[in-house]
Order: sequence, then structure tokens, then C-alpha cells
Amino acid sequence: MTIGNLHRLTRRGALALGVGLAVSAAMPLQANAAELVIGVINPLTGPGADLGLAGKQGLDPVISRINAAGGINGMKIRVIYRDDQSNPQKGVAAALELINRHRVDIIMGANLTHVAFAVSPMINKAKVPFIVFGTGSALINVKRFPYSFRFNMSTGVEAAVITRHVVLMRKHMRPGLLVDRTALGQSGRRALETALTKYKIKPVGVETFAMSDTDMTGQLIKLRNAKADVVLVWGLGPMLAHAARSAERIGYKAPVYGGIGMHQSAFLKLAGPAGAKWSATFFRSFTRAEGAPAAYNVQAYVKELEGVYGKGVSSSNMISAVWFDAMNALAAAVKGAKSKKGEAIRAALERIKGYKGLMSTYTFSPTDHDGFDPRDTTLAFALGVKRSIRLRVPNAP
Amino acid sequence: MEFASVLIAGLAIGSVYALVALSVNIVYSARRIVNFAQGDLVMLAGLVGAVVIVSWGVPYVLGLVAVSAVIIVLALVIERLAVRPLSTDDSSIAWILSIVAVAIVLSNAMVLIFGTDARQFPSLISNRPVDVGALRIVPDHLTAIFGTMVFLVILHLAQTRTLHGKAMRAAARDPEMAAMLGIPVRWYIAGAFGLSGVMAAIAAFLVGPMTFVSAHLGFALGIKGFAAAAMGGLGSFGGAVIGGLLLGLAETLSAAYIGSAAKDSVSLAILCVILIVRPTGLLGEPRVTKL
Repeated sequence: MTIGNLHRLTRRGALALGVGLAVSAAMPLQANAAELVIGVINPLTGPGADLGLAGKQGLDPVISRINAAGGINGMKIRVIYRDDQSNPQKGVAAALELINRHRVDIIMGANLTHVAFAVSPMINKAKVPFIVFGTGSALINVKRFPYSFRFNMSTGVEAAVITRHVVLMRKHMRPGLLVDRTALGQSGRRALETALTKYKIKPVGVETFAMSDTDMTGQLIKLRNAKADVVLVWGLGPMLAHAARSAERIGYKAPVYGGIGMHQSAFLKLAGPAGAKWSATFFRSFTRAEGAPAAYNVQAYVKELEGVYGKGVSSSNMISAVWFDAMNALAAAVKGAKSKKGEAIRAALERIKGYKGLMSTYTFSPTDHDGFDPRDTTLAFALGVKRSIRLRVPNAP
Repeated sequence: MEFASVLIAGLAIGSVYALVALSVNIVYSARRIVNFAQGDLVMLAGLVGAVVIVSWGVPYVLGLVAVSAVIIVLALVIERLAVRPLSTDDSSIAWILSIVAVAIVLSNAMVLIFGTDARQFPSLISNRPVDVGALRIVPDHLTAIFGTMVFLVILHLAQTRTLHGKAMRAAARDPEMAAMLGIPVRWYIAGAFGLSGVMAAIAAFLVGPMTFVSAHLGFALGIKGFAAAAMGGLGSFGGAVIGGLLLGLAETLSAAYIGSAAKDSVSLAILCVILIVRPTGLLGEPRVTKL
């Protein structure tokens, strides 16, 4: 054996080893009948990271409690987390891995609407029950996505609450829209425009902004010139903080209402006094009226989360509460289904009627996979948060 | 008055682009390459500054010095490891890939170290608007605009009136001839990167209060800075400022008077028209090659 031959052999050996490792990494893992595997696709990094963290903090304690009590029908729950990095392509890669390699029984997550839209088709095609947290209304469609279910509030419900308050309570008849250009913002725009048609109102102006925009002076001037008497916004926290500052800069005093994205920690930290009067849809149970306390069970839940996670508790812990509700309801459904087959879990979820959770009373059916009760949505000021509890806007539902 | 507000907002955002463009041109002046990672260096400076000043309580000016030191070292490392080995041949464009890779690494490193949340950056004066007659002015905007003008003058004077500035231009124009004349070309190139690091820190301190600082903003800022530099003429400091201000004004005016959907289209259309009419940019010098 010459040195040259030895090198060739070593190179070939290394190549073979590498190919072997790659192939084995791609091969599906053996399913374990004694466990229920839940795959979670959520933003643990990127602009939506606080939502992903909130989801994990809502889910992990419930899983620990269920497993400590013996699991569901004797099956322990194993959770596999995958970070979609707030990016649809990464979400798709994660979904493919969870479905094909890990052969998960259920998938939960996709808290960001644009990621949820990207992963929903393949998850439903694989007939894996999908508990989706994205709020885009079109994400729940029993014909298109028969395996998708939602415990979170939807964009449609938010838009209905906002427009009802703005038009009927506040008598604003000339709304202007300021929305971001992502699927989230466009989903909000469509929902608002649809909700306004109920009152035969069209927006007097629709302005958009990109995720990287740091100044919206131009857009707000356009809406002011169109004589908008109220501005409806849709986007994520940091961009809305820029919008609030831009409005303050030009002295634009029209009231502003928005979707739940405004309650992200970024808006709370960055808008400053400019966002003091801005309000957005929120979970009723996490709000209180002026001078009144918040619901006791919610306060107890927040305290429990703080006890477990200390200073590391997510500022979006209302989302933790939704995950808490979703996992408890899902566990009950799987227990009743006595099977971990996709069809059986789907049928069991459709049988959930009047399930009382922290955030809402959930009801599903074969024709409606949106379980959140719209009456549990209200409007709350984004700033002035005390221990996660927001102040409800006067005369809000 | 409304038009005045739009104008000031446009000039303010234009100053952001101009400062990044100035940093891009500092490097281009010494070694005809574009540092596409400049936007990420600005954001990194902002994030480090936010930690140093807000979390650690270091005084503002001392914070600027500390951040400058960090970014200078990083810029020198980038020059030594990612640029110098790949830019020895004038016809090679491998440095482009290398610098883009650096930008991606910086962006991901920022996410790992600082997280993904945007952070407030402390103001030198104030980011709340004040009423001056019928006008509403944000002091931080005026600081950014004024600061951009000051650094334009300083850089222009340094480039044209000092020996080092002239040596740097000679090194960029003809590195071989400059070396034969005894100009330490490598030192000047490294010095340019170091100076661009200082500029990145200054840019972060001036624009951070307006834009917030975030690991995700670096790329977009870098692209806008490069567009401003190209519009004004690569290598020209005056051009960088004109390009930046023009870009900022185009964006804000088109959003206010045409529509937000036209914002990017209008500014890119202006860039295209300028480059078609004058390929070297508004104040860029044509490069003459003798055969």
C-alpha cells in the first residue's frame, strides 16, 4: 500500500462516512407507540421571538404536569421544538422535518401569520392535526385546511371588534388604514375592509410600510390630507412604535386602534409617550376596567408563570395562556379519542363544546375550526401595563 | 408647515443614509471596494452603545469612545481576514462574496448576542418634538442633519487638504505606483477601514435615537447607504451626502404626496435615471484607464 493509495482510501472513507451520516440524518426515525409526539414550529428568534418564547413558556409546564400524572392514555408526551426564525422558508423546512423525519402526531405553533400560511398546506396534506396560532382569518378553512384548528383569536374577530367600536361607539366614519406589507398586515387590511363594509364604509386612504421603514411621516400626512378621523393600524410592535413617533412628530391627533401586534413588548418599550393613547384588540380576561381588578384566575396564572420563569418570563404571556388552554383542551381531546391517529384527533377536537379555559370558552364543530369566542375580545391601551394586565378602553366590549 | 415637516423628516432620514454612505466612501476612497457590511457595523455599534450607555451607565461621550474602539478593531479584522487576501488582483470580485458573508455573520452574531428585540438608543438631546412657532421639530433630527454636514466637511478637508488624505487617494487610484513612491498602501487601506469603523460608531449615535437599533436593520441600512453612495458618486464625500439626502427626501415626499406604495419605486427610479445619465454618480469622477 503506497502513501498515495492510503490517502485515496482515507478520502474515500471520509466521503463514504459523510454520505452515510447525511443519509441517516434524513431517514425517518422509528415511531414509538408509547409516546405522543408533538412538533412545535415557532419563532424562537427573529421579530416574533417573544411570541415563540411565550408559547414555550405556556406549553412546557402543562406537558410536565401531564407527564407527571402518567401522560395521556398511558402515553408520555414528547415535544420537539423547531425555530422558524420568523421566516416562512425556515418554517417550511421545519415542518418537512417534523412530518417526514420525526413523524410527529400533532403540530402546534406558527404564531406568525405569514409562516402559518407557508406551512399549513403541507401539514394538512400529511393529515397531521395542526393547532395553529397565527391570526390570519384564511388560515382556518375546513375545506382547504381540514386538520387546522385555532384556539387564538383571529384577525376577522379583531377587525369586527375594532370597527364596531370605532363606528358605533365613537362615530368615526372616515377611517384611514396604515398596515405593513407582510401577510400579517395585508391580512389585517382585508379583515378591516371587510368589517367596514358591514357599516357601508370604505377607508378614505390605505397606506403601507415595510418592515425596515423607520419613518411613516409621509404615510400619515397622506391620511391626514384625506381627512381620516381615525387611523386603524396593523403590524408588529417595532414598526408601530415608529408610526406612533411619526404621528407625534407631525402633531397628528386622530385616535389610533390596531390589532394585537401592538401589544408586543417592542411597542411598549419603544413608543414612549407617543403611544400613550393608542389601543388595540386584546384578550378580555387579561384586561381590567378603570378602577377594577383583573380576573383572579388570570392573576394567579401570571403569578405562577413568574414563579417558574422569574425575570425571564415573556412579556407576551397572554399568548402563554392561550397555549395553556390549547394544550389542556388538546390533551382532553386525545384522551377521549383513545387514539393518536390524525383522523381520530381531528374528530375529537371537533367535538369540543364549551370548553372553559383561561382566555375563552372554546367551541369547535365539523364546520368551524375557530374555537375562540369572539365575545372574549376587547380593546385595551397598549401602554400602562401592570403585571401583564392592560387597561380596557372605555366603552369597549 | 406640513411641507416643512415632510422636508425635515426627509432630510433626517436622508442623514441616516448619508452617514452610512460616507462610511462606504471612506473605504472606497482607499481601495476601490464597497463594504456591504457597513450597515451591520452601524447596527452593531448601536447595540453595543445601547448596552454600554443604558445598561452599564457609562457617560455618553465615554460610551462613544468605547464603542468606536470596539468597531475599529472589528473593522480592522474584517479588512485583514475577509478583504485583503481576496483583493490583491484588481479584476477579482471574490471580495464581494467575502464581505457579504461577513455581513451575514455579523447579523447572526448580533441576534445571538443581543437578541432580536429592537432597542431604544439614548438621545443626545431629545427625541420628543418641540414647537418652534408653527413648526414641530425633533432635536434628534437636527442633530443628525447637522452632524452629517460637520462630518462631510471634516472628511472632505482631510481628504483634500492633508498629506494622509492625498496619500490615501493615491493608494486607491494606483496602488502599485503609490507603493513605488513609498506610500505604505496596506497601512492606508487598513486605516480607511478603521476610520469607517469610527464613522459607523458616530452614525449609530446620531441615527440610533431615530431608527432604534436592531440586529435586523443592518442589511436594509447597508443597501440604502450603498444606493446613496452610488447615487452621489462612489468615492465622493459630497456625493454621499447629496445622494443620502436625495434618497431620504424622495422616499418621504413620494409617501406623502403620491402614496406609500410608490415610495421605493420613486427613489429607485431616481437612482436609475441618475446612473443612466451619469454612470459615475452625481459627483463621481470618471475613472480613466491609460492603455
